[in-house]
Amino acid sequence: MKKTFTSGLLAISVALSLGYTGASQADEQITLSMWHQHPEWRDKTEAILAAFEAAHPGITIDLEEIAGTNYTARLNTALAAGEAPDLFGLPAGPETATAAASGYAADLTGLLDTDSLRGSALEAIDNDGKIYGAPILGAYSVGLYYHRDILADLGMEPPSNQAEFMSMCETMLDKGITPLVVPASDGIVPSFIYSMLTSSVMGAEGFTELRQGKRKFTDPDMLEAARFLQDMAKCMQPGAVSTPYVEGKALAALKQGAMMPGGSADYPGYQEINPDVDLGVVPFPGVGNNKPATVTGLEYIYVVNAKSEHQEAAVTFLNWMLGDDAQQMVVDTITMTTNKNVVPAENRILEEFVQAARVNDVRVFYELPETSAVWNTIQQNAAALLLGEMSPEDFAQAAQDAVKVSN
Amino acid sequence: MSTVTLKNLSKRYEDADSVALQDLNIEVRDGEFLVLVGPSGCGKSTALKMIGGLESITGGEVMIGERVINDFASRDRDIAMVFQSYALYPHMSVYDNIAFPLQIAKVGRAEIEKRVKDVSKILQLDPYLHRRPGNLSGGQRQRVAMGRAIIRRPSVFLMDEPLSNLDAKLRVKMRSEVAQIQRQLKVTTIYVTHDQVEAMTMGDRVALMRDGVLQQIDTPHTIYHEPRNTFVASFIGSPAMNLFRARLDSQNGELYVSLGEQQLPVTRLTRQRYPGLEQHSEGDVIVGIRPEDLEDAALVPEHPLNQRLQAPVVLLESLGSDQMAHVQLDADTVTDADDEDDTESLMSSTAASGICICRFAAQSPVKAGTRVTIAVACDRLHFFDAATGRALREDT
Amino acid sequence: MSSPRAQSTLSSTYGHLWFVLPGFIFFLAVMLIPLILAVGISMTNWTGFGGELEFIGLANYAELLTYWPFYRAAMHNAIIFLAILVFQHTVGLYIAVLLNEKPRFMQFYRTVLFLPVIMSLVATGFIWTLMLSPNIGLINPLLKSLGLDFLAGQWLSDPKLALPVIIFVTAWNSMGWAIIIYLSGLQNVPEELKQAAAMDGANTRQIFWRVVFPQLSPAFTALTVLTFIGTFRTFDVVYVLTGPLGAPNFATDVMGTLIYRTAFGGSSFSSADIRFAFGLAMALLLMLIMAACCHLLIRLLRSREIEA
Repeated sequence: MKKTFTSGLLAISVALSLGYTGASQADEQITLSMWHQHPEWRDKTEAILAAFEAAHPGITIDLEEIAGTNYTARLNTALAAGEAPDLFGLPAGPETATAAASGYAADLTGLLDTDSLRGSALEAIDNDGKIYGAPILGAYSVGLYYHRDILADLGMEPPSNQAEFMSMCETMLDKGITPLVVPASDGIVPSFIYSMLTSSVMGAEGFTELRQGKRKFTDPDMLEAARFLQDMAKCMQPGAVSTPYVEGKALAALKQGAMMPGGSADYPGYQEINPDVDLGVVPFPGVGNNKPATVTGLEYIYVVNAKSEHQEAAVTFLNWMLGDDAQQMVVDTITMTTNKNVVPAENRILEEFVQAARVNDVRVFYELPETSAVWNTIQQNAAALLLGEMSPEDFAQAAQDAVKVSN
Repeated sequence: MSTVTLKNLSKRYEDADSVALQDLNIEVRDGEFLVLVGPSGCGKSTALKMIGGLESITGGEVMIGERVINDFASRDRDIAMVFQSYALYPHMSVYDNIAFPLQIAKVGRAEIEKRVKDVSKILQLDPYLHRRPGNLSGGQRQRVAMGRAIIRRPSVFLMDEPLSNLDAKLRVKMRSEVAQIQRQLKVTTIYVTHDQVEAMTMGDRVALMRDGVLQQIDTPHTIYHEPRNTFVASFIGSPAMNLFRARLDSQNGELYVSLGEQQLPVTRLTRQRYPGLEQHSEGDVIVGIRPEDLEDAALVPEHPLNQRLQAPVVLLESLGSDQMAHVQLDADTVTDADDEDDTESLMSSTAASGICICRFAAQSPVKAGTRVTIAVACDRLHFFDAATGRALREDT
Repeated sequence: MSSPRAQSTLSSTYGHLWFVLPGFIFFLAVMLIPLILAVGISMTNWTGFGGELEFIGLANYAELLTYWPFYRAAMHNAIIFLAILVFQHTVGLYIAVLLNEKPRFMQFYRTVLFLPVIMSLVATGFIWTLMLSPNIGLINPLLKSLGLDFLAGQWLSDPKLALPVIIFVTAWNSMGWAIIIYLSGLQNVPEELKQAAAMDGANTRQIFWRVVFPQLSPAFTALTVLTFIGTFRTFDVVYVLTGPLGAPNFATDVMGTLIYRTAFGGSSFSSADIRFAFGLAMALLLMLIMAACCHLLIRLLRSREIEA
């Protein structure tokens, strides 16, 4: 009893003396927990977080990286159990909307400094006027990487359409070179390829029409995209349908293939595996004579847990991340395109991506409610198409069946 | 029907420094019931397993009839064996257990059935034919094991302590049954036991072994009454023969044996039985007296007065039919170890002891703590060399 | 009379139950309550995300009856089970018999053969994927250097080979169990039983099949049931070797991966296809079917075991 009293007195006196000397907020150290799905960026993210913590001594970020599909499984379970971290990433679009509707994501409307964001990014995070997430890691574009040295040795230029691609493929196969590295075990990369192929056919307006039901994956010209994807199977490395993502990335970086589909954020990974890698980027070759295409999506946007006790601090962090200094670091180290008009310091690859995306850029399917389920469908059926166990017609039909036409 | 001949049969294990069996020579006659007896570790089971082909032979020969069978597999030796654990096949019915050897030999179904019926009749197993061994009593299991052995009509039976897992009462019963069956079938049988009572009651001849060496092979009567050494003398018989270190003296051509201050005459009959005594007429010997050769003198007043000993009774055990009186003699007891952990103490004497066990008739009025006069049947004394323990029967 | 109060009938009859209480509470907390909750959730349409859910009765179960992937996965499990079963009762038994002869270095062999059992399947599975890869793997170059080019294959991408490869890795991983279980069974067969059979005229083969093998029926039962449970719970091998989609084109999709995908999602980009309640219904139905099968298996196999 006496002891409690004495220590209570002591605490009060300490608090009083601090009150006069320091800011009232500094007496409490806040630790924000944060989940993220890119272990391969660890060095870079740690540097960014260190910069944040230096600027905000009262806040510490406790980052946990969870790779691959485990991320979704763990996050969903943690959310349902009320054990989710203060900050977590979600795909923009329907996923974020669902999290908000379920009461998991705090409403950040008006709290974020979004003025400097590009219109497209702002549009992507807008849910009927409400904002739930901050696009702090920018966006990514997916195109076709190629080894500049390999193509130069062969006297080739990167392909821009189906015929060029297939003839390069034949030549390379004859010479014992793998034309295209595709890790297809989880179906994700083939889904990106199909997205780019259909985008080359329909373009951005066509994508809008598709969502309105005016255009279909089963249209004769769109069907060619599925055919091309199926034909492309023979250009892929042996065992493509069971090659895991990491193995595919390593094969690509180590020049075990001439070309590989990839996103802007894949580049640091290639460099880490092979520092001497000499890559170039072009938009993915078009179907038939259609223009080549890229697809673009936001990296996971960051959401504040509605149950978090430190929402204010979390918003502080997100706003700092959206600032120019942080975005410069993101752009320079993680090689993202950015959602602001921050220019990367001498980055050829990013420059090439910007060039590539100028031709014919379409948003990724999963960010939009009408085509969110299409993504899963093509991901699950990709192996069947590549193995010839499913016809292009059936593949396209399945994709079309997954479209939820908006009115 | 065959003889079994063991010629210099030897067994040496690679990792042991002593031999398990040393130059065993035995001829088992056709149809004979031979009992191999001895304390555990004496090599009797090893010998049996070598005959059965379950142990390799490291020296000597095993012959059945005229054939050396050293290199024959067990199944080619025409031998049947009954194991201590019975080794019944737990997953088969009694019928199948008994029929197993015939099924293996591909005997016709009808023939098997007939022979199983015959055997089960002999062994009174009829009601149990469809049970599994797990549901039988010890005695029934024992009979099934017998049945499996006899159904093949082999030329030799080997039995490895087949009764030792039974309780005492059942053992007595099965003892006579087994002996009876053997006599009916007249199959040459080698029976291993550590129980001297089984050996005495069942065998045509008894072979007593110790530390891998055969000590004596004879009929039960001979081995009891004419033991070749102190080990045989003390192993056979219950209670065991009393053995004392004693002095032999000669007076006027008569021999006397002294146990402390007391003297007993060595009768003419005894001198005939132990001619070797003549060379030891002055000196140390080991004298052996069976408990039944010692009687309370009060009950045999006509017993010669000079064939008596006097001693205090230390302990009296009444068995109803008779009484075991433990008396204290002024002499050194000789123990010839018959338990395995005491093999070093061959011929050792424990100075303090001198306990002698007497089998008195039930009528004896003797009380513990009193002195008693004992009538000694001096015609039946046994004499052994004090140094080697050999009977002084031959002139050695 | 001042004798202590007589024990009540109740406490003398059921008093011992107090000793079971801690275990029962534990069982309740980690088994029973979650199971009951799971049954409840499986009768809703909950996606696992958000608070929206409706009671839909047995609709999930009804849907399962015509849900083709469920049957496809179950069939793959059944194939794995049968193949592993045959493998363990032949190769496993044979190796156990060889080890039971107490060869030189037996301890070493036994350890080496049992090692895969105690190693993490996630780790060993990853090594297998590296070895099997047609691009960076060791196995194809090895076959080529042995002049066995025609055997080299796209192990995990050929729909005809992928499941056999999964079976092979599972067999490699689980053979230690078969060997240990059979070895302990063999060591329990009394030496005298074999000697008796030898004396009765049986040759080595007859001794094994007619006398020794029937003594192994408890081991056979245990192993069969364990294999059944183990193979129908297969998840890690498939997840590591061919991913959550049971690549290629679901040729290796098993109940484990199907349930995981359905309840937690198979894509990191979209959780549009996640149906937690439906996945739970699948898991519960599987549990019911497995429990029934185990019960039947045990009854069937026990009946041929030796009593006492």
